[in-house]
Amino acid sequence: MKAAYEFLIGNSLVTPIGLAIAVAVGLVLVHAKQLAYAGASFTIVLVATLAVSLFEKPS
Amino acid sequence: MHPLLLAGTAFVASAVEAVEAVTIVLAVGYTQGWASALRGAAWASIALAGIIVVAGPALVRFVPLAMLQLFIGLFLVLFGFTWLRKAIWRSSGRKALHDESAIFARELKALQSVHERRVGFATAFNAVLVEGLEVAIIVITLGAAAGGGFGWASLGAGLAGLVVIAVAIVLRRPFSRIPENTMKFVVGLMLVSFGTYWSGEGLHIPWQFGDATLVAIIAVYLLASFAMVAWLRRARPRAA
Repeated sequence: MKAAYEFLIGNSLVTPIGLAIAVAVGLVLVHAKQLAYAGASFTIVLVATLAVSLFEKPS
Repeated sequence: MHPLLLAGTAFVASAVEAVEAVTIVLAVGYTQGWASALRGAAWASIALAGIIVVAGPALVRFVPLAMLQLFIGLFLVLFGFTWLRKAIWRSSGRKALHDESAIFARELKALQSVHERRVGFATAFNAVLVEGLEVAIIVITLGAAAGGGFGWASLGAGLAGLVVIAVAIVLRRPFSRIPENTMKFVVGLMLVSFGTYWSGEGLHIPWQFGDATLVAIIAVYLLASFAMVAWLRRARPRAA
């Protein structure tokens, strides 16, 4: 299980949380018919996730 | 999705994995003989081909496309983040560069201390299988998310394998001169961008410019990555 997690995510705790937030933001905006903002918001949350995850300890 | 873009992404991503596998097979070949090295690599390749042929079409047949795109997209983002994060760390000096020469020397030393022929076969088999599994995952995910473009993705991966093997035969040395971190940077960027695009499609996000949005997503991640490298270089001390 631990090996599979490391294979996929590589010791990051931020990445799965950020992905969950991005999916939630995308779902909410699509459901609210805010389609013009959905793509940009989804992408921005993912970029922010990458940026924050860089401050975790290098694996 | 343009088939050549699909094949190109599979090519670059697979080339990185092939470099790592071939480096270890070379080490086995030099120490344990080429017969056991090539036999191990061949059996692992057959196992991988079986996995792709069985798992790929089954996914497309039994799972709805939107769900497939969401999960595969998120998987690619996860996978791509791992590569991109390491490439950014290495570019900024926070992590030491990956050294294929060191890997080659380490494998060589380990193998010289063991005299069993089976070890050579097992080492080559495991190296090709483990690195190849990553290639298989890339081919299956790219092919499935594109709605069944397994042929193009497999073509890209197969060509990458042939090119890396051809270069290995010519050089007869590990790939220490290939800027691996640059390749990993590009692959991470491509996987993350494809993953973002496809998972968005899976969520029913209407990308404003259709397939062309992918270029904008790549540009966003590229600029963000450069900014992150520059920021880390200024903010953090260099790795020893």
